[in-house]
Amino acid sequence: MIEFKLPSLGADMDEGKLLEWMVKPGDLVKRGQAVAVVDTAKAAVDVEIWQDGTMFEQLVPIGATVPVGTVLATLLEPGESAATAPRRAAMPLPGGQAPAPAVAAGMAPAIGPAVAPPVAPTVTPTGAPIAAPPPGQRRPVSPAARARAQELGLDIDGVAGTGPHGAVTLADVVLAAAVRTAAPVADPPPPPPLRRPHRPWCPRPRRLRPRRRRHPRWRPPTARWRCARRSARQ
Amino acid sequence: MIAPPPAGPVPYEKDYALALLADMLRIRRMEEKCAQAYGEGKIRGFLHLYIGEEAVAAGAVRALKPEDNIVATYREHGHALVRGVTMNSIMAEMYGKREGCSRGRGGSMHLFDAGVRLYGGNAIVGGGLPVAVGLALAARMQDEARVTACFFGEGAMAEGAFHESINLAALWRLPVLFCCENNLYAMGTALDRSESQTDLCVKAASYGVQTLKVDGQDVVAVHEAAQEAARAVRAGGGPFFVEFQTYRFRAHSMFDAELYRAKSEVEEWKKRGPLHTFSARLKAEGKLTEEAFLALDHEANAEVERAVAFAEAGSWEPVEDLLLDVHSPEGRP
Amino acid sequence: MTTMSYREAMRTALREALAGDPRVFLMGEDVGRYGGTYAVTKGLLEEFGPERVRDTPLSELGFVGAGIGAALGGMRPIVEVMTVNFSLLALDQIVNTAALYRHMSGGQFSVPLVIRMATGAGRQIAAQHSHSFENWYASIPGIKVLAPATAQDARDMLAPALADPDPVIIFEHAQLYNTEGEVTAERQADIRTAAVRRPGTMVSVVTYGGSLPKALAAADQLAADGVDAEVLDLRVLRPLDTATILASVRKCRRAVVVDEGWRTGSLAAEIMARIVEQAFYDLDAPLARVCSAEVPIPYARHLEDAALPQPAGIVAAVNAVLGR
Repeated sequence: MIEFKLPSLGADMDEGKLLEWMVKPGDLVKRGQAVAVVDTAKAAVDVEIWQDGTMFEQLVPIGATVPVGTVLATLLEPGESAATAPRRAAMPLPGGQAPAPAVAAGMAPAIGPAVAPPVAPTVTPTGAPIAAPPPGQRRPVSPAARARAQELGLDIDGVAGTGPHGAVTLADVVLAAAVRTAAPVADPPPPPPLRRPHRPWCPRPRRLRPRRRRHPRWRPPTARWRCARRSARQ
Repeated sequence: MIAPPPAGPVPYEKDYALALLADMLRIRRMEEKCAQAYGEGKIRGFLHLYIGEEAVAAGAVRALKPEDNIVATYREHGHALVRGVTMNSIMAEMYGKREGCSRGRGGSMHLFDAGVRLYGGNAIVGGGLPVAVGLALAARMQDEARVTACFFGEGAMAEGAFHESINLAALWRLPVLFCCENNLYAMGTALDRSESQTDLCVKAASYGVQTLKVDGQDVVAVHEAAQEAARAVRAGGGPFFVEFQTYRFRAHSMFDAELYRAKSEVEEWKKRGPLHTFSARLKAEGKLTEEAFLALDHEANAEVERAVAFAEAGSWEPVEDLLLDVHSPEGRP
Repeated sequence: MTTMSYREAMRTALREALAGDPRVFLMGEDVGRYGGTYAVTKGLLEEFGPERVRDTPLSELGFVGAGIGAALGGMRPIVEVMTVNFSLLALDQIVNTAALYRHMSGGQFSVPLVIRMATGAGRQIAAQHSHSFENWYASIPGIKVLAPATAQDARDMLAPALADPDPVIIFEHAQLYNTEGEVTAERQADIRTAAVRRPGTMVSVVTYGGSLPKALAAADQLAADGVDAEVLDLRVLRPLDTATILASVRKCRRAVVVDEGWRTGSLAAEIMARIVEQAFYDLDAPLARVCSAEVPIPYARHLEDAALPQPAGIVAAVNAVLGR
């Protein structure tokens, strides 16, 4: 028994639609003969067979789209008898189209992902003893955390860091401040707005004032501005 | 319009003639298996088959000496095989295995083998031409009697690289054998749709190089022309341009609906197939029997089966070695 | 110790290379009879003959590819592409052949090729002759990219580049050829490390090639104003000496990158990315960069000056980073 499977006909072909059988059951086929036409989504392509045989059962109906590797038909090997050959369940016609047969095993080489998954950074849980940085090194503190701690008058050295490399993050500062203010820990205060502590310097070419705006005046707000206003009021 | 099939006497001893036939058969059977393995997902990427053009590699590569260099294109399986790269290592390369001739880093389009002076496997059309000029320059500067054969399709003749390279080679009288495999289609663009001058020898001759135009389906004609051209180059006559007029029987790459040519045209050309016409000539001369042909075919198929088994049993390069061979070990950052 | 121009230093290096190894030859447009566009190769034809100082036709793709082939064939070619602008015509051979051959062949074929090219703007030669594409080449695995900025480095970096088994590109900023410097008899530079040209403590000014003199001039001005800037010369653009960059930035905690390339996708952007990736918590201020304005380099002198990094702009950027 020869299985005639839908081959992959291009680097980007995962499935194909059977357009035509070029032979019918009982026909003799020769190695290299085109036996079906398949639409690969790019074009209709003749599909050849790689062994001599006799077309036996055509399992996939015209018009069906099936994954690469699907058995499209079975063929009898030279000398094999139709009477004793095993029969396969044919795929129903499209319309009441049943799930396509599974792709034959071993279609693609089994290789793991090319890159190992990144190692999760070690996280120090809040409340754990704060490791002193090695001499000569600063504790990593995110700029946002440092600014927030300054606003809150919080000693950054007393805040445990949970960020990458044990860095003190904004959330660490917020949590530390909440622990300090509320003896019975209530709901944590809402996170502070993600505001930059100060405007970072950004070199910007001096721009000429647009010429048309000879009389700078109040202009109707843009849609986006109106939108922002509305949501601020809610 | 299409010339009659190659015919006429075969001016070689039986063994030599059968070796040419065997080479063509080996290429054919190997590539048929490649096409099948591609369909099964064993070979991936692009796969450009040489089926129909076997006489060119078989006849031309055999005209070269072991010390000669070969620079080839992405349709180079045949050249590699005839040059002596083992079928095992070619197949393993296409499977992406470490045992491949390029350790699985190259694939079908980048077959390399330093041992037989095969400098790739170049997948940029025309990209190998300047390299061939440089290899010839190095040979000349080091007083080495080495011919550098560069294979390219007629499509490459529309590239600037072709013109720059043949000009340099002619200007410096370098030992380059320019082997143009004119299979009439640059992918899907026919010769007369891509070249203002379709007589390629005329184009090449304008650079002051010697030229020859031969029937690329006739392994005898190919072999004779390549020998004559290689002799002239080796004798210090400067570069030589040979146009092998051939035809690709199959798709350009694996995906190709072949909308650009008629099936009848392909069928006409198949009548000029290099394998069966050469076999017929040998049979007519009593140098080949059907049994002997079947034995050669059986041998080729057995070699293919061994190569597939070798490739299947090959190993994947460990991912830890991913960054290997970007730089040489001594120059690695 | 001798004082010589950058041009003379490069010529000395070429002469030493040609004299020291029969496999070395020089090839390019007008390198022979003309004496080189920038007169770097003047006199070498007479000394070494037309086989080894080989004039080529105007075929950048062809002769760069021929250089690759010659390197594969056992020679040690030095290919001069007149300027980086013309190297675009040879890009396919550099990127698709020279850089990839070793890898595609599974380690069988190395390409020991050196490509030299002038780069940069500043002489009013207008848009098509003023490019700085060092960053393009520095983004390609398989090649090494050098940018000697001093006479000493110009003399020193060619020999290790030739000794390297893989392709190396040397960028020579056209504005540097007339600059002079001390050159010692012994070789000082390698092709792996960056060099601190001026030690400092308050801000790290990271630069390379033709921008180095500008950065040093800026540092002098800043010093007069009480700002102690460190000037780091990358010298090697691929692979970048990240360790030296980070050490300087960790010390100064502020950094300004000066790069004649266009800002978008610049080498400066890559350096800043590495600093942020690896020294984020050591920084005391946002990073800054001084790059060329995003405009084709204009012909008119005042506009060209405005488009390129200048000492005044570097001083301003440093002051801004310091909050001054």
